[in-house]
Amino acid sequence: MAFHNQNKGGAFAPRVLFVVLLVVSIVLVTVYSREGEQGPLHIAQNVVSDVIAPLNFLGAGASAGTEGVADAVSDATADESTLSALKESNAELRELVAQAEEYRQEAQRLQGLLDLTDRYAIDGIAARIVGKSSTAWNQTVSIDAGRADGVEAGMTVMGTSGVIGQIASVGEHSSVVRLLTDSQSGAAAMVQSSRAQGIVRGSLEGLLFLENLEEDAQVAVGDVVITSGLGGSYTSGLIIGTVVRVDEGEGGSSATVVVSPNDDPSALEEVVVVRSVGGVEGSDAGEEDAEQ
Amino acid sequence: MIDFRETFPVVIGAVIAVILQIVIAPAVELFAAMPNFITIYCLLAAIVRPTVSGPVLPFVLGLINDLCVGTPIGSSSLALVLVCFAAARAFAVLNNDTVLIPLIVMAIAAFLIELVMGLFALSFGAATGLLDALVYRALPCGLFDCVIGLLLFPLASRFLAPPSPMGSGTPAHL
Repeated sequence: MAFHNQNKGGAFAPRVLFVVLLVVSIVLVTVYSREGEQGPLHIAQNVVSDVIAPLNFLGAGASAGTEGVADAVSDATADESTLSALKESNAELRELVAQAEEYRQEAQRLQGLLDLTDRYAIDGIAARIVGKSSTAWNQTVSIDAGRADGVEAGMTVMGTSGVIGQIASVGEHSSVVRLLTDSQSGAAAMVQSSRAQGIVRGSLEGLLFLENLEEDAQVAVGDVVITSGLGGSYTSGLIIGTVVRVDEGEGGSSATVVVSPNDDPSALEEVVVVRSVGGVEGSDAGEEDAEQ
Repeated sequence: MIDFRETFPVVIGAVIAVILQIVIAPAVELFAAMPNFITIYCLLAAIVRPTVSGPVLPFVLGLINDLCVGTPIGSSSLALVLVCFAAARAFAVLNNDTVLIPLIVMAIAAFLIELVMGLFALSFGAATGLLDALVYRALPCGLFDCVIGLLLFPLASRFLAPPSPMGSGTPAHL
């Protein structure tokens, strides 16, 4: 009883603290929403993001590790009779082959990036993906290039075959890329064949939608969608993906167009941060190649 | 006066939760649902310490979460402070020493936190509807948090529960 009475007597201070911390939280959110990218809270977030980037890399290792554990469990439960006396040397050879395969795949990916930068005459910064967002509400990845490498907020980021997103925040040696599939993403785009203009937006479903099309816009399944460069947020003429579904709008509403992105960011390990295309930032230099 | 023996496990647990959130959470994504270890830890602390848990732990961990994962600063702390407070009060009133009450409180609280985060995502420009936010993120993430929270509940009860005022060996909730 005494314990409860003591609790009641001392309950005022925690309640005041509770209200104070709620108010502080609300003030922080308000300041965060009103300040620009150069505001103190955004800068603090960028600094922390830069500091924890190596931990994100550990996370990628942990992901590979869990796959390794699954393999190990599978091996351990294999029938004993299937294991030969050459197991040790086989394992060694397999390791070498796996290593060689890893190098081959890396070379292939880098060659893909090189081909892409050649094809579009891209002046860019190559970077490795070192981590992904640790909240389900953001579709972002971290890359190991930052301000020191010439990366700036707003730059377009490409995978091996198309645009994957845009630099959202920059640290000294790492950056955060907001993927096109993020529900807060929006890229001015156009259908290559009909030149119909719209905006490609991500969604929580993980799909890309081409929105804000004019009513008479000609869009068909298989059409290629490229960045239009309107608004200057994305470099123009870079391929985004292909139209995979067109649901005609009813009663004068515009059609719902689903776009399949050319690149799957979850399968990417290296990217190029686009500084300029064809020597001119925001030019249409890449468009001719995208048409091919 | 801070009781070091009581606070130490809570701080260690908080550090582990932050590391798990940064390192492990992205690796255990399941159908776009990702657990939030910081949320889970705050809820566990609120449930196993309903009479002594204050708003400081959820506030600080919420800020760390916002700084680390890129959500609007203040949003997680607001959601955690509010919901953990409600969860602690609800558990203190409803607790009948069965697993059902922590399960219900954990499930509702986890869902509410994800819902508040969804509302913040919408207000900060996510081009999606509330129903989509509910179906594609809040529900699966809340469920994921709830399952992991229940798995960790025995550990939290063992290490985070405050010492009983009636001496060792007596359950603290009595």
